[in-house]
Amino acid sequence: MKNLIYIAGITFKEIMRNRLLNVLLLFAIISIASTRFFTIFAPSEEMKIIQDTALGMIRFIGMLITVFICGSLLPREAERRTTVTVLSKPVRRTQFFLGKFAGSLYAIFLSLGLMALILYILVFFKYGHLDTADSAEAFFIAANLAKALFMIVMELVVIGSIAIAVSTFTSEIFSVTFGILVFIIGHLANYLQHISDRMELLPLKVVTLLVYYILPHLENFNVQNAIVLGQEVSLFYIFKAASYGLLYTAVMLILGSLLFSEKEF
Amino acid sequence: MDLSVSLRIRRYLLIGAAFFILISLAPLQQSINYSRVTEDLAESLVIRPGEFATNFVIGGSSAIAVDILWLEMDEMWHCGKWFEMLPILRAVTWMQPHFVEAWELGGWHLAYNLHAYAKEMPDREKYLEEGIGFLKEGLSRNRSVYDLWFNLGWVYYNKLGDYDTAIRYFKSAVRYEHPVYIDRLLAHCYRKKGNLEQEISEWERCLRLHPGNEYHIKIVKKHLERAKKKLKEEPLP
Repeated sequence: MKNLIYIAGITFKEIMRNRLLNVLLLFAIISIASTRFFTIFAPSEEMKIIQDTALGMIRFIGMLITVFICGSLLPREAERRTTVTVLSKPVRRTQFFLGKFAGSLYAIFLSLGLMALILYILVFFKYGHLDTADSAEAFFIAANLAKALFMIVMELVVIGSIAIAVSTFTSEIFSVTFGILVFIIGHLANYLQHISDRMELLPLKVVTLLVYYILPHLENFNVQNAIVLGQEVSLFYIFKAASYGLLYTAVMLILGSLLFSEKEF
Repeated sequence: MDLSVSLRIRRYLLIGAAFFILISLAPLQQSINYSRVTEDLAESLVIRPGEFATNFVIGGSSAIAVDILWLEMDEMWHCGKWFEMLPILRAVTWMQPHFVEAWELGGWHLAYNLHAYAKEMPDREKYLEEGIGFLKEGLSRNRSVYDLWFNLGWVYYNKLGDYDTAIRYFKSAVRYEHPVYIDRLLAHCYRKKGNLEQEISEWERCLRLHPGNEYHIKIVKKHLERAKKKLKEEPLP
């Protein structure tokens, strides 16, 4: 455990020095902050625009940060031969792999935290000076936003686990591209069930359903439209979606650590 | 036990655990699918790769893009570029499928403006059908608000004279928070159908609704008296 935490800490420091991450983060922060100016197009729907744009931006930039971090960590270490140096010490491969993933998660959570902070500041400026009736509405919006942000975190954890698992046996470019493809396919996975419903050939139907269940269902974590429209999302739903995310991540980490254990350096 | 054997066993156990978790995800996914429908979180079943691609490319900026397109469309409307408005409307609904006003405007523009504007008869029918199709597509994305149920009902009532279908849509509209005139429209549908008994029953229902709204009560009473008078003059067979 001590080794794992130590590797995670080193990985976190290394990631925070990454120029690409800093540029993406800066871009996201400026974009989120500037949504306030775009509300002039629809003055009656300020809150809707702020939430919709900011959440979309957080998900999209968060996904890019995640795939670039998780997809590139292990191939870069292998290229620089630092993996061999670390593994020559009393560190197990699983500890190394999980430590790298934990370190990536620290960095991803910190980036998301910064983006979320900007979003909450915007909400505060919109409602901060208003009376109690509006404060109740502001509280509802803040609580709903927390749910949406938590769902984005879970989505990124799943994407990150897939990207790092794939990066154990492929190049940096491939795992980053694969991570982006997973994001796209994961959001369209639900359609496979509708396609399989319309299939008449049984073997094809079975294969489609199998692929449907194996693919990550990232749409499970998409509550953005409901949040923006002011709908209540139940905590039970959040719990179920989070459980799905954690279980899927566990599968990816098991497979990733097995592949990493087999890898020859 | 030999170290390599113990490692192999550990590996098989891990693969088994991963497989077991993957299988347990299937019922969990079914349960999540069910919750998404009951909590109205699910997107419609219409396949929308274009919509997804657009949103993916522009990232989180869809709301801003929609605002800009909406302004552009307003400009076109005032310049009389009625046909050029259509692709922009479609782009707006792709990027913001829950922007009900865009679906309403598109449906009305096709079923009323372009239907009236088209000179040749086959074209006219095409625009009316497209308007209804557009409203129905919007409805599949926005079922929990009255707006598009009402709009569809109105096209069937006002444009097609299909009162049975209009009643079906108006009845769905009044299940959600709605303006008072939709309740009266339901009664008007029965009046147009010539179903006097059902019409009176609808007016009586309207009378019980919104007791504080004097204007509404006045209109309903007037119609109720007229319907009852008619019933006396022409008793039901």
